[in-house]
Amino acid sequence: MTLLPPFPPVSDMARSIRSGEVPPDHWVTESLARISASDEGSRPLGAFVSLVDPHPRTLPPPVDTPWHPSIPLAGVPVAVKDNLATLDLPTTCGSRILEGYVSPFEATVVRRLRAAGAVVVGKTNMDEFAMGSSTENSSVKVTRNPRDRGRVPGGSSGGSAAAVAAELVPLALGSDTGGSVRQPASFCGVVGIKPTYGRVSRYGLVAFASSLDQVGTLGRTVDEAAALLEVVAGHDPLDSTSSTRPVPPMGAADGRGVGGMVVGVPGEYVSDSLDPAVRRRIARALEVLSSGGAEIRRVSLPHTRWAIPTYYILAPAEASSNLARFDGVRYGSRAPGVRDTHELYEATRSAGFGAEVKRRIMLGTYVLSSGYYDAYYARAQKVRSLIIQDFRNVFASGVDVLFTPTSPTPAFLLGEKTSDPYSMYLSDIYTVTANLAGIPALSLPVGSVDGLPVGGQFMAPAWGEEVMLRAARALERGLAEGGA
Amino acid sequence: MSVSRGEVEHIASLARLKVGPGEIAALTGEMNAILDHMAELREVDVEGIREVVGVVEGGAPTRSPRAGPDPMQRSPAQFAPDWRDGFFVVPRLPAMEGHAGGSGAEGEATS
Repeated sequence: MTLLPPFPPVSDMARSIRSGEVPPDHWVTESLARISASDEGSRPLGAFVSLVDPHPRTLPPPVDTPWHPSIPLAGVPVAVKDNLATLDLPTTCGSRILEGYVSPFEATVVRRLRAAGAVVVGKTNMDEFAMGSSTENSSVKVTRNPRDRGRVPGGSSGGSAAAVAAELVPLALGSDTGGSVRQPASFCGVVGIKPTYGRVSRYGLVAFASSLDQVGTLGRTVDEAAALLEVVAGHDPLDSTSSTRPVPPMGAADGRGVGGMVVGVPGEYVSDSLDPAVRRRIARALEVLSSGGAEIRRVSLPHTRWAIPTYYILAPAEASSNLARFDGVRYGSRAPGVRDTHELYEATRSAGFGAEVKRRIMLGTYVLSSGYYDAYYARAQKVRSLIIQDFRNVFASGVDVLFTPTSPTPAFLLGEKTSDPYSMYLSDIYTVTANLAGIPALSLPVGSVDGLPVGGQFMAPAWGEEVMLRAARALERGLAEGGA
Repeated sequence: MSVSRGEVEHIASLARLKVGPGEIAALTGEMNAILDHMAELREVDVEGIREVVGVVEGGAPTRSPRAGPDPMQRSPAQFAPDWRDGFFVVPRLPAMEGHAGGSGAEGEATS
């Protein structure tokens, strides 16, 4: 399909607002028009579930506001995943149980976006409560891949990835618990960043799995996704798991390239089961890195093969606890005509949650239950420890960053994996390890297969966003110069 | 390790979910298929390995016991399913069935 002409670079968009070259609502108005057009026809894109009121009174400040150069996102339209609390738009998490719910407080990352001058034009579609890898688990609508509307955009941040890829907005926020920013970025052909656990506040992010969740950023380029990350990152007293470490200058381009850098390639991530066409794109990317002066070194992360079972025990376990709050008492939907509180909980939750959410709550409840806790949950926590140690060993051996495919395949067809939950879970095979280990990871486009984007993933040691971004920028530049 | 239909019903009860007769068989099959994959973790030697509680730098954080400013910018009256006189109104607890009185209307309790 024909994609829209790209927005200018974000820095130019903001500058044009600050200088008065265009009216303050210029880019937001353009964005809303594009969003409307993208949903026309027999196969609407479906990236957004709610949009800001376009009335001029509700748009950014008037023309006589002093736009300070320190407001880097002045007037830039941004999309926000629908599990991040906003005051002016509903926060539904793609679920019937939160249909129409408007949060009484705002997520810290959204407040920081607004303080930087950005305008949240809408909330994006997602797999219900971030549980999924295709956005097909949304109770609201279908989101399609802008590159091929018969295919999924990935998930669970599929709406955000589709919105950026379709040039409806230049920037978006998502959340990443097991790959939910990186995998849709890979499927849609954009850049997606999951920061180190604790780099970005989770206050106002509706919790799925609290030890794995992180807010992530999506953009058209490494520079833009990194600039957005720098805006939202940093300690938040409202999130006790957010780090007090200073935020390094991630948005500024580091042109040093990869000369002298050691790039590790884990053998477990490029096994025979990898799609051959994806393997060729990854190999080409490694050639570009090598030409840029990087040493490519084969390494091993020996506990990788147990990452999916580990993740799909721990994440549902945490989810079963986090989603216990949705009971019809204080917020969200409430089942009518119930006799007592017990019936209230059961009827509300059964009607409000979709099949995948129920399945994961059931799994999580089971693995935490008496008699099964040691066999499943405690064991998975020990295997998680081994996975973390695998990464520490590799980085301690002199590897600066790791490079892998983001996903075993390009975007699959809508409906292709919905009948077999475990085959959907396997979409996350290369991404869950970074969440289990709490390390930063980034996906960027490294080519295409039959017109479908393929993503390559960098992973770095904890707090290593700078080295990860340096490598990603170099690869992005090298691919653009040499052709992917 | 596999789950029986009875166990699935019990888990659903623990999770405050209602699973209808038509759903039990399918859900039991799905859970067993997934648990078969999870059983692969038995292959890992975890002798002497400590459980990871989380990946927060420096371990589980603590904070001041002092309450900060209230972040709520809207009253519960604007988002609660049922809000009256400063209380969330809910149906009566099952244990109160048959008891007279209560602080709300008949059949209601407040929380």
